[in-house]
Amino acid sequence: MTRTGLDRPTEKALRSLDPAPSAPDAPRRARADAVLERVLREHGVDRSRVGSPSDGAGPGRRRVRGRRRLVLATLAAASSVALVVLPTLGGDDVAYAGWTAAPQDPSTPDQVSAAASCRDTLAEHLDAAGSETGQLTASAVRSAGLVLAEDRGPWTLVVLAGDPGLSGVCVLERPGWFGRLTVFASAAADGGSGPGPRDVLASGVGGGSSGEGISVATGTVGEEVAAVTLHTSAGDVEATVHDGRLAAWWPGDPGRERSIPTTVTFSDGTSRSGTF
Amino acid sequence: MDENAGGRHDAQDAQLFRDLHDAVLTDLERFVRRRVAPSAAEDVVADVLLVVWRRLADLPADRDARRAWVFGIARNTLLTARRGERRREALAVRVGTERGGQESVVDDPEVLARRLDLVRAWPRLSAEDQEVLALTYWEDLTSAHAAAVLGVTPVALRLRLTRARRRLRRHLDPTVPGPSPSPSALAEGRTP
Repeated sequence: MTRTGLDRPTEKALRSLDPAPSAPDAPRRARADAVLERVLREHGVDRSRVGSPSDGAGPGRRRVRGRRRLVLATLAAASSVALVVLPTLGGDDVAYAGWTAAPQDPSTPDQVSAAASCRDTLAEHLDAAGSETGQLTASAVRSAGLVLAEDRGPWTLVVLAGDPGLSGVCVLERPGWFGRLTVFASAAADGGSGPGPRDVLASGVGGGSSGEGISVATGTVGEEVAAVTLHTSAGDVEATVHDGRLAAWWPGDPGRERSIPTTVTFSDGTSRSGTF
Repeated sequence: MDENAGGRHDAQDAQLFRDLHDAVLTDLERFVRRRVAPSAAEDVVADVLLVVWRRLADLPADRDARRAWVFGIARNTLLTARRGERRREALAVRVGTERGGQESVVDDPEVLARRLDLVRAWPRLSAEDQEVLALTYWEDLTSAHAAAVLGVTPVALRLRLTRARRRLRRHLDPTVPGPSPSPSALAEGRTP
């Protein structure tokens, strides 16, 4: 293109007034790389190419799946089948800055939004898994109701419940440019019996070791259980107890949490120690 | 945007996207930072990358054409984002300050003086003029690629550029005869 329309001093002056820095500095570059990974993680998986959790992916597929792992996991002995969706974390996403040991109540719109995102994430992956997950189906997840929600810093945990014996749990980041980032999601079809009045039954302690790692504990509690504190590797974590359900999560690989010392407080003010 | 375009990706696409990201990220960041406040730039870049990923099937083969293609997506993204304010056909472009800018060390007194004049003149240009000048002198695009970004023909682009230069010269020196100010110049209210 000819640029002869401006005299040389004017062109030189104009070029020198470019307001954009020549290149991103290191922090911006790191954030841009994190965005790249997030695009691939959140939007890069063609469900028809993910395959079921049991498919023997070749090297090409493994590269994609490595960014969004979809694995069958045993969350609890009582579970007939469970699905865990564990996006790989990377870059700036790994640090759970702002996480709190004590939960807060999310606003109702946040609860509804997080539950919808959780259903979408689980349904998408159950669709991809096809018949491998048996009675744990996408349609069952889509009709599951929200039974528990909690906030820990910028993350919201929701527990869904539906038939037949279906339970789902997701940990999601507060909505950002791409909507909500799912940090952890799992679903299980659980045929176990309910707890006694002072029982705490673990549905599972799951999570993953990618990035900083995340541990998620869910369970059911008897009607006399008022509070549960989990003494984890991340410190004492106050679980959310609501309507016969229990849930908590904390940063750290669940592999370190084979048996979690627990303090259970009952509605009569007494307490006892145990393990989760 | 065709959502379906984003539904057929595989590992090869992911690698292509990574390579494209490496190749154009710096230029894309600069393109966006010329047009939005720095605080908003990263979010915009993120949104552009998502659209790029979804439209990867449309990626041109030629390296320079790819760069222009990404700029076109960025421009449409910005225009769409501003739709709530008022429908615009052109994007205002920021300009450096007397003491700032990309090449802040300029020792030629004539160029320094012209910088001062340009800083004052730039806001008086229409967004359309600013865009075509920025694409030419800052994004350093050929007329064909600048035309692709704006969605016009190369002939139309060259005509716009000629007029924009004339109006800029007139703002720099009111004694210079030139075309009438662009119709939207007063209404657009330009740039920080």
